[in-house]
Amino acid sequence: MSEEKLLKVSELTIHYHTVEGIIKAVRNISLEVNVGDSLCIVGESGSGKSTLGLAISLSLPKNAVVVSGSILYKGRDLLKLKTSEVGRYRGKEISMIFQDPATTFNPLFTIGEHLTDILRHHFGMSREEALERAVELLKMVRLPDQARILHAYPHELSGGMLQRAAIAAALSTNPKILIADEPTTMLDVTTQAQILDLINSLKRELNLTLILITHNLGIAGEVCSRTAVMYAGTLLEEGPTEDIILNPLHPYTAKLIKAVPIITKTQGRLSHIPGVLPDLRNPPKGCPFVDRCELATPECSASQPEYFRVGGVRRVACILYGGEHE
Amino acid sequence: MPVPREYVVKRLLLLVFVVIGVLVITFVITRIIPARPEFLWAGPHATEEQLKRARQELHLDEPVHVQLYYYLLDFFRGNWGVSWRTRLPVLNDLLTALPATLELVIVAFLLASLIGIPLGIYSALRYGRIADQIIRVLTILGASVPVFWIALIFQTAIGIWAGVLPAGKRVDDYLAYITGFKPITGFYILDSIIQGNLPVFIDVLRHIIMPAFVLSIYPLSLSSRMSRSLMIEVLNENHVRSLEVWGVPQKTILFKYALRNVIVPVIASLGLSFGYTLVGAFMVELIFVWPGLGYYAGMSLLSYDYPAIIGVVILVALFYSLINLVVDLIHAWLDPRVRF
Repeated sequence: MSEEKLLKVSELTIHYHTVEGIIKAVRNISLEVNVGDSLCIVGESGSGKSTLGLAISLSLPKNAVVVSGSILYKGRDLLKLKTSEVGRYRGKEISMIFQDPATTFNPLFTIGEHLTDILRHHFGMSREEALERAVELLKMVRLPDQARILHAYPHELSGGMLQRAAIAAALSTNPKILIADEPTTMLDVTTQAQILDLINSLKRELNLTLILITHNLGIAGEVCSRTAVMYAGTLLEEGPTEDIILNPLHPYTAKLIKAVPIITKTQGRLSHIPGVLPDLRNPPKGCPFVDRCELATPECSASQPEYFRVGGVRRVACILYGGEHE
Repeated sequence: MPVPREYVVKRLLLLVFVVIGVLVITFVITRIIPARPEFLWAGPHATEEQLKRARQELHLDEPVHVQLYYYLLDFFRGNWGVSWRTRLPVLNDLLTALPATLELVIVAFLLASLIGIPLGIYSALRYGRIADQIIRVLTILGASVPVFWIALIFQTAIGIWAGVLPAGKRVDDYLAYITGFKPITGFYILDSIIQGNLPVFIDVLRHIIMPAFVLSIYPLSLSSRMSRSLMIEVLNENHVRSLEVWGVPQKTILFKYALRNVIVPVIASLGLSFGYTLVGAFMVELIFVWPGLGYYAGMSLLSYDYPAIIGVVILVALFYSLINLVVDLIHAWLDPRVRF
């Protein structure tokens, strides 16, 4: 390998303990991210993509248990950090923004209060220094009238403004990796484009490594050089975004792309993937997509397919591509 | 956020109508009850002649609306009538009883919020553990056991058997006499501080702590249960998670951010039950021989003392509305989303 891996997720498995049983949210996932990369994780709701993001940002909820695997950041396993060390990574090296900007900030505190608390904690700034820096940060995310926004409460700002403020908060600590979990899902279409533009240009300006979690393949195409497709807690295929969209390998990815409505074409019925997601309390032993796949063979349900390399830069977990092993 | 002055004025004007409404309703209800209050006025051995004269003096033979007219006429001149039981002006009676009750209720609510809220938050942070279970059971008990029963148990166990605290009254009369203690405001804690009278100050505290604690058990349990469930809810909110992800220390998230989300609604509901407790303290006041408003109201009710009953009701309505207004203003001050 010529380049040092910034982030290396290996065979990660995460379960949630709930009253309804153990939910196997993430199963045996491996991923690599280089410095300056932009990786999209695409999947339906319930595919485990958010759980993966929370695990990398060291913010898994209390009922989540990492069963096995490792997350190496600059060679250091984030899952084996002592409690006292977590603070040096969480927010500082790896930061995150979320789906719903309206609930990202505490409604009883101003945006400025949130920003200055982060800055004062991470850099030991005084209140005045923190406020100055907060103004710069709001400028950085292209928010006008920074003084007013600092004194504004969340309910006084629009979704787009709040998402920009959230980006400012996430980037206030100069993190290396930004994880954006469905950052535009709750916004209207024109604002979506602006936020994606902003993330794109900030990524270049600050030399950020970006992990973007989305259910929208179109967004993946706009922002990310590489894409990983997740389904029912497993990674089905991974490779350059363009290749995945133009020439999907896994039957699931192919169907997902067919399901994207095309605005210029009048379709009688929107196409969808028949069947439902498998129950994650008791996921199938073989390929998780086997029940909905037209090309399934008995071999598919026998055991989980291994990853096969295709064209050097792509890998896919489907026996159709058997031959060259990873 | 700044409160517009017109809003406060509007609310205060509304208060006048509330008081008039309450007054009319209470007046009519007391008058249509089939009772013969003239016996109270004329005394137990009154002759037929004396009773007749009493009915005339009290206007009891006039139609209800005429009686109401007389009452309103006096009321707006600041004359709330004379109590038929104590034979003193009702307003005087009320103003003597009010500070005693206010002092008791204020101490009770201080205890309720200062113990209840931290207890609930602690319980939430120990969610599902033994401490949480114990606190939950105790607060369910506290919210459901009748207050007079707790009062009797405490009085018997602590006041009489153990003899650690006085079993009743506001202050030791003998001690007050020899130290020259004089009520000024009627709030004895305040009065003893003003006069620099340390022995009475300690004695007043020793008298108030047991009834105040008994009275606080219900609001304490309520605020504890409310804080617990609010805290559990808030900790699952997205904004707590985002601060965590951005690396803000747990201490700041809990005790600066989440705490305010918990305290604002708890304070609001405690404030509202404050007005209600003014008279709800009746049982506690009766058991601990506390010469307050609840005691006065209870006695007046039992003796058909119409002017006193109406006086109490109006005072409580006034207090209730004022506290409502104050709670709304505090709520608006703490929660920027509140609009007028």
